[in-house]
This record gives sequence, C-alpha cells and structure tokens, in this order.
Amino acid sequence: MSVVRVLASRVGVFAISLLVASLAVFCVVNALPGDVAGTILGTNATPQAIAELRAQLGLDRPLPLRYIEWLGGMFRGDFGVSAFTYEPIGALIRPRLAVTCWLVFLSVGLAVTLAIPVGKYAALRRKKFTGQLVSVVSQFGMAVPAFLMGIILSLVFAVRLGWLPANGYTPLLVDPLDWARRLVLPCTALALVQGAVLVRYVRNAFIDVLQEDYFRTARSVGWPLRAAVNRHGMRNAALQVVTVLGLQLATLFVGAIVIEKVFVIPGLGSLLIDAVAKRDLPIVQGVVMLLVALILIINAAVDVLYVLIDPRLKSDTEGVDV
Amino acid sequence: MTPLLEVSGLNLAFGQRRTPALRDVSFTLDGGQRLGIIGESGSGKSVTALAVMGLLPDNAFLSGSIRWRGQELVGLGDAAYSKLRGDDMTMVFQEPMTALDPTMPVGLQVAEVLRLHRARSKDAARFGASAEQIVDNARNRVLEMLTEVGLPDPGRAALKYPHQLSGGQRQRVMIAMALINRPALVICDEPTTALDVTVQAKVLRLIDYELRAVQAASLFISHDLAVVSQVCDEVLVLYHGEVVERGHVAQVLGAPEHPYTKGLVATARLDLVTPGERLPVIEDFLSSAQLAGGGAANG
Repeated sequence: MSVVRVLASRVGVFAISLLVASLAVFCVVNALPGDVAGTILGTNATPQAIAELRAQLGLDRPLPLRYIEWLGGMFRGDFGVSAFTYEPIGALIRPRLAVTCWLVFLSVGLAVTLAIPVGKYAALRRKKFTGQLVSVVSQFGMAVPAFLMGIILSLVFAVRLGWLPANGYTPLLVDPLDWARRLVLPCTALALVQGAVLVRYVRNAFIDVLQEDYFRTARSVGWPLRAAVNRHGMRNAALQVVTVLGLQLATLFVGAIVIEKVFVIPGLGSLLIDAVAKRDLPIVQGVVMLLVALILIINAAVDVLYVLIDPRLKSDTEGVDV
Repeated sequence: MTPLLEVSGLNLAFGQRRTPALRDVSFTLDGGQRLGIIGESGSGKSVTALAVMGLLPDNAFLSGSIRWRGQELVGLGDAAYSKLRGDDMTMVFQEPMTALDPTMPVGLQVAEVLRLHRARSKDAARFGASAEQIVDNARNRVLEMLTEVGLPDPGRAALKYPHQLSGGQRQRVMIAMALINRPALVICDEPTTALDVTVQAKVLRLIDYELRAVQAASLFISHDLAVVSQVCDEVLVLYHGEVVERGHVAQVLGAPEHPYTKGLVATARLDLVTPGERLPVIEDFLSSAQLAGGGAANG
C-alpha cells in the first residue's frame, strides 16, 4: 500500500469514527439525569415555568432533530451557545483549548526527553545495580497519582521554598516569563508520572532490540555498543514507544483536568466540570466532542507515524530468489 | 610464524548452569585457511564463533585464550574489539530474514560497514580528496560489491529494504557486508541453512569464490557434512563442547576415528538407505558410557 492510500483510508476511518462518536456523546449527554431548566429556575419553580423555559431553550423538540441541528452547527464551526450565559461555546472553548494544549504537549515533551535516555540507560545496565535502581524508582513514580505529585511539588517549591507561583495562569502573549513560571510545576507533575510509565516501555523496547539478530549484526560489523543502540536501535525501539506515547497523549488530554484543578488553570477540564455541575449540556457536549476528536486525531497521527518509521508497512513485495 | 587465530584451552559456561558450553577447546587457523566446524545443535559451534567475535551474551563466563595475530582477545575492551570486528574479522549469520535492520535500505547497511572502518574524511582529505569524491568512492565501492555478490540491478537493490528482498538476496547482502572491507577472517555460521536447496548451492559457490578473491581465512560452521567438504580444507568435530577430532576433510570424513564422527558420517550417507529399514542414528555408534557422560567420557 502506498502512503497516500494509507492516509486516505485513515481519514475515512477518522470521519466515520467522529460521526459515531458524536451520536454516542449526544445520546449519553441527553440521557443524563437532571434538567438545565430546573437548575436555572431553582427548586421552587413551578412545572409550568420549567416547561416554558424548556420550550424557549428548544429542549421540547424531538431528539433526532436536535442532534441534526447540533451536528450541522459543528460543521459550520458553530458549537451553539451556553444554556446559562448564551455565550458562544466556540469562543469559550478556544482560549481554554490553548491552555490545555500547552499543558499536555509540554508535559509529554518533557516526559519523552526524560524517559528516552533514562529508559535506554536502564536497558543497557539492566543486570547492574544502577539499571535496576532506575526500574524501581520508575515503579514508584508510576504508583503516584499526578494530582498528588502536583500537590507535593506545589508544597515544596511554591509554599516552602517560594521559588514558583503555586497556581494560576498567564497567557503566553501577555507575559511569556510569567506564563513559563506558572507552567513549570503542573507540567513537571504530569511529566514525572507519565515519564515514569514511559521509562518502563522505553526500557523494554530497548531490551527487545538488544536481543534482535540485526543488533548482533550491527555489533559484528564493528559498531561499539552505544553507537549500535543509537544507529540501529532507536528507530526499531521507537515503533513500540510511539504506541504508548499516543495512548499517553490521549489520556493526558482527559487526565489534565485534575492537574488543572490542583493548579487552578483555566483549561478545558475546569470548563467541563463547571458545565457538568450546572447541567449546561451544550457546553458538555461541545467539550466532550472536542476531546473525542482530539483523541481520534492522535490515534490517526500514531498510525501515520508508524508508516513513516517502519518501511515494512509501505509495501509488502518480496524479491524473487536468484 | 604466528598463526592468524590461535584458540587455546577455551572454557565457556553460561549463567548459573553448571554444564559448560565449551570444554578446553583449542585450535589454530593460518591466513587463508578454511576450517569447518561440525557438530550437532548445542555442541558449541555457534558459541565458539561468538567467542572469537567477542559477541557472547553478558552472562557468559569465558576463560582460556584467543589470540588474533598474537594479540590476546579474551578480556579486550569493546572499543578495541569494535575496530577489529567488521574490518579484519567479519561474520555471516544464519538468519537472513532477521539479521538485517528492517528500517534501513540494504545499500546503506553495506555502506555503513565501509564507512565505519574506511573512507574516514580526515584520511581522505590528507590525500586531497573532496567530500563529494569520498561519497562517490564509497558509493561506487558499495555498488561494485553488490554487483559482485550477484544482486540483480544493484543500483535499485541498494535502495530496497530487507523485507523487499528474498532470503537468498538478503544473504548476498550479508556477504557483501562481510567482505567489503577485505577481512582476513570471515566466520560463517550456517550461512546457507535457512535457504532453499537450489539457492543454497549458489550462495555456497559465491562464498567459496569471495573467500578466494580476498584470500580470507574462514571458520565455517555447519551441521551439513556435504557443505563443509565443499568449502573447507580442514574440519573440526565438536561434541558436547569438546573437540573430538580434527584433520583434513577427506581424512576425517573418509576414515573417521571418533565414534561420534563415525555416526555423523554414517547418518549422512543417504545412498545407503534401504527403503523400509530403520535409519541409523548417532547413538548407534556411541557406547553407553559415552551416551551417559556426554563428551566427558572421552576426555
């Protein structure tokens, strides 16, 4: 299969998945107990007033019609408006998506930068004390939840030492220095936990590579150990690591919610949680749909990355023996 | 004159296992000489080769001496060993399907071996060659080598990935990698075992021709007596990690002395097989003491 065909089939799968996901999100959100009209009017509202508000919000119309309207709106980039403030949801989401993206991508970037050299080291010295120490420490890292890591870091570096702000967020374009200072602790908290998981996979991937025949060949033609690992191990190990990385990225987009709460960062997570508490269904639908789309995009990107890394996926022709 | 390779009193064991993989193995190899190593699976053929190459796994305990042109290799550091490997001393492996890096075009893998030991830009610059010339020279040498090992359309084959070549073609690439630096010793570990019979004969002829062309010595490991008698001058018989017999191919295979070798030769005689009759097995030729104690009974 050519690269173009792989890409085309991926885009097709992506579109269908998105459509199915939108239906699922819509059904689940509308099946949730609780009613926005009731929440807005409070507990003392008369059934008549609630019915009137429901009609005003368009909640009395049949579900399929509302689904098609919502879907059509999203195609035009219109996510609808908040049930409470009538603010356009697109404008609410955009700045928060940027915040969450910074948090997630910086964390993953940091986790990868830490995990690859550490995992490689642990693989090369897996039978020595230092290599096993790395494994044990990474096990501990995996056991600590990200929010706890966030609280610990915040207590030590913000409260006790006062080196960094404990919470809050400043947009990059407003004050780049403050933006960086405020992202250090939340990103480190996420990166340490994700990095610990990643170290294990990187280590295993490199251990696999060390036992491959082509690695022995690389050694037999004169590559010293470390050079052989870098030259003939990286790409092959990357194949295994990319899968995990895609999963981690997806998990982080959803999991960052907790860290956003700990560090009071105005990301997608806090928007979603507030909207759920208020039964602001249009916002919940919009944010969940966005997260689903992001995860699908990440999965598609991982598949494309496979094809770029592994030439075996591009063609499967075998030569004729001569 | 010092021999090219002198192995003496080599003992090898792995990890916690008490049974040694090699027991007091000694042999010498002169320049240009071809020594076949035969024996059944687990007799220590491959580990002997890996010991010489210094590529034994971490849990191997090796003692004894391996001298290369008089220099002791047992205990030699990785950096010094790496300079020898792929340059003066090379190896062709058994597994053509997995022995090449699946993510790299084969031409590049051959070029790498050349570049790793030759064509260092500093050296070339001293003789007034430009960077382009060096790349051109390396390129031409790789194409020349790929042509020599009989890859069809070498220019295009060089750009292919291992999975796009057949087993025989991949083994030709391996041979190109092993010979491009004109080594003094090529260790062949069952180089044709994984190939189809017709391809086997062609690859064997190629190895024979190439070894002669660069006048390289060879340790040729095989369980196939016919293959060894075709390629080698002398043969060494390993049984349970011990050398039980060594001599000229015709002598050892024509008039074997050790019961194990007798068995090995007899079981290979397909022309003596009568349909319907039980085939001979090695054990028929060994006494019960030899069977129980392995090679130790002869030691």
